Amino acid sequence: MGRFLRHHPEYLMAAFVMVLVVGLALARSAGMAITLGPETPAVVSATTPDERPWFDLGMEVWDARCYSCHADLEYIPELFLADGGRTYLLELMLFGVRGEVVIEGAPTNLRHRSFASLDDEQLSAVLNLMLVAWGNDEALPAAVGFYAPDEVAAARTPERSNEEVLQRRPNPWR
Amino acid sequence: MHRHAGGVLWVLAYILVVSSPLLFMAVRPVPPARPFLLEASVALGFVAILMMAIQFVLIGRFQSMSTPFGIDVLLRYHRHIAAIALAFVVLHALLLVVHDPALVAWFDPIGGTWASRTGAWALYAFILLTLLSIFRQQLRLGYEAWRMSHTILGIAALGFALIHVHLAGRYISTSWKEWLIVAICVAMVGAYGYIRLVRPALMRRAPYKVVEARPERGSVWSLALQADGHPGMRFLPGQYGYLKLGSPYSLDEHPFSFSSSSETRGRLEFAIKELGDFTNRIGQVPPGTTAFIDGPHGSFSTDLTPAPGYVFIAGGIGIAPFMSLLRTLADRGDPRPVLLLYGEKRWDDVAFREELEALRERMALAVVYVLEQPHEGWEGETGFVTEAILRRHLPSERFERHVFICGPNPMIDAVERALVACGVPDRNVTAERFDLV
Repeated sequence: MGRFLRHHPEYLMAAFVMVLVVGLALARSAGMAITLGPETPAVVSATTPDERPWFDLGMEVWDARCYSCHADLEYIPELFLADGGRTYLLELMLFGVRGEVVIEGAPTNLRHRSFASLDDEQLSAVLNLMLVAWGNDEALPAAVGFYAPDEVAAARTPERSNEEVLQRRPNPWR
Repeated sequence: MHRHAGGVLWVLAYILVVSSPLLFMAVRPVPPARPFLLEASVALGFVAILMMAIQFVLIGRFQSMSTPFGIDVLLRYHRHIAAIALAFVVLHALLLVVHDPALVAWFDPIGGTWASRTGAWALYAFILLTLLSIFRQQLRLGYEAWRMSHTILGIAALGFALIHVHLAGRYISTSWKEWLIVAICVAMVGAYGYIRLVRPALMRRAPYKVVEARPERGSVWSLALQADGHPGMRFLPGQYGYLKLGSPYSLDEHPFSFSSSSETRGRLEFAIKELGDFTNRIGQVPPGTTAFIDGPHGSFSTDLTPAPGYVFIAGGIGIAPFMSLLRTLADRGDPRPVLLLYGEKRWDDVAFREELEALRERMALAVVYVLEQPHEGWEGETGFVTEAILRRHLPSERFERHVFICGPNPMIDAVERALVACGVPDRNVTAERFDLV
C-alpha cells in the first residue's frame, strides 16, 4: 500500500481532496462559514446607544439576512439622496424589485427579494444601519431622516409589484 | 533526497491549488445553506475546474517539475488526474440530478439556462477529449491532429466551465473570488502557451543541423546533429529531448534519449528505433535538415543519483540512454563498476553490441545479454530478465549500487517486481518508461 501510494500520489491527493469536499459540504449544509475580518460593517462616527437605539438590532439583521450577498453598501447615500430614493429603499425592502436598469451606461439585471417577513422594527433598524455604516454617515447630511417603525408599517399598504417598485426607482447612475 | 523533497513540495502545492476554490465556499459572504448533496456537487465542480486547469501545466515540461518526477511520470499523472477530474465532473452533474431529478433537463446542450448550457458544453467537451485520447489509435487519428484537438477541446472545456461558474455563481458573487479563479486558470493556460509559443521562439535561436542518420543493428538509427551557430546544449547523460524537424513551432515533436556522450559539446546523437510513422522515416532524413531540440529533460541520470556503482537494465531500444551514460562514464574515465543487463529478441538485433565490447576495454563494464529468441549455440542468458537471472548476475554488494531500468512498460514492471524479490530497496531503483503518449 505504501509503495503504491508513493508511486501514485495522484490518488492520495484525490482522496484528500474528496475528504475536504465532503467535510466542506457538510459544514455548508449546516450553514457554517468562516468570517475573515469584521463580519459587521464598520461604523465610522462615534455614536451612543441613546442616539441610535436601533443599532444592535440592525447589526443582527445585517448578519443574518444581508451579509451573505452584500459585502458592503457604500453606494447607499447616492440612492438615498436622489429624488424618491428614500421611499424607494423602503419599498425595495418591503416588496422586492426586478427588471432591467441602466447603470453607468450598461444594462444591468436588477433583482432583490422582498423582506416583508421582517417586522417594522427590524426593517427600520437595518435600513438605518445602512445609512451610517461604511462611512455612509459622512456622505449624508447631519440631519438625515432615519426610518421609524411607524413609517415602515404605513408603507406596507398598498402592496406594490416588483415592476411598480422599479418604475418608482430613481437612477443616480444613468 | 533533494529530488524527492522537490517532489513533495510540488504535491503539496498541487493540493493547495486544487482545493483553493473551496475557500470560496468556506469564507463569507456565502449564500444561505443548501442541502448536503447540492453543496457537495458544487464543491466537486470547483475542484474539478482547478484540476483541469493544472493539466495544462503538467504537460508543460518545466524542468523544476520534471526533474523530481520525470516527464513520463508527469504524463501518467496527467492521464490519471484527467480520469479523476472527469469522475468529479460527472459526479458534480449526477449529484444535482439525485438532489432533484427534474434537473436532468440541464444535460440538454441547447435547453435549460445559459448557466446550465455552458456547464453541459464543458462536460461534453471534456468527455469528447477523453474519448479521442483513449481511442486515438482505433480512430486512426494522427498524432498532430489529436494534439490539436486535445488542446482546443481542453481550452474549450475550461472556458465553458468558467463561464458556467460565473453565470451559476452563487459562490462567485464577490469579485475577489471571481478574479482568483479566473487568474489561476489564466496562469495555468498561460504556462501552456509559454511552451507552445515562447519556448519555440527561444529554440529558434539555437538550431541544429542533421549531420547523418547512421544505421545500427535491429532497425535502430543513430541520428547525429550538429549545433548551428551556437555552442550546443549541456545535457546530463541519460536525459532526453523532444526532437522537431523543420519548424520549432511544429506539433510533430517526439521525445528521444540522447545516446551520445555528454562530454562532447556541439554535436549530439539520438538512438531511434523504427516504431511508427515518424521513426520509420528517420533513416531518410537528409543531412543538412534543420532540427530543434526542446530539452534537456528527465532525471534518469547517474549524475543526479550518485552511487558507488550502477546496474543498468535495458530492454530493446531502452539501451539508448544507457549508451549516453556508458559513453560519458568512459569519456570521463569514471572508475565505478557498471553491470549492464541487456534484453533483446535476437543476437543480430542487439544494437551497439560492437561498441559495448569496445567500451568494456575503456571502463569497468560487465555486459550480460538476455536473448528472447537465442540462436543455436547461444550459451548466454535467454528469455526475459527474471529474478533468477538477476540473482545470478547482481553483484554481491548490490544493495549499494543504484539500478536504472529503461524499456517497454511490461518489462519495467516485471523487473521492478523481480528486484523487490531480490531484496533491492525501492529507493535504489530508477525506471524510465518511454511509452509516453
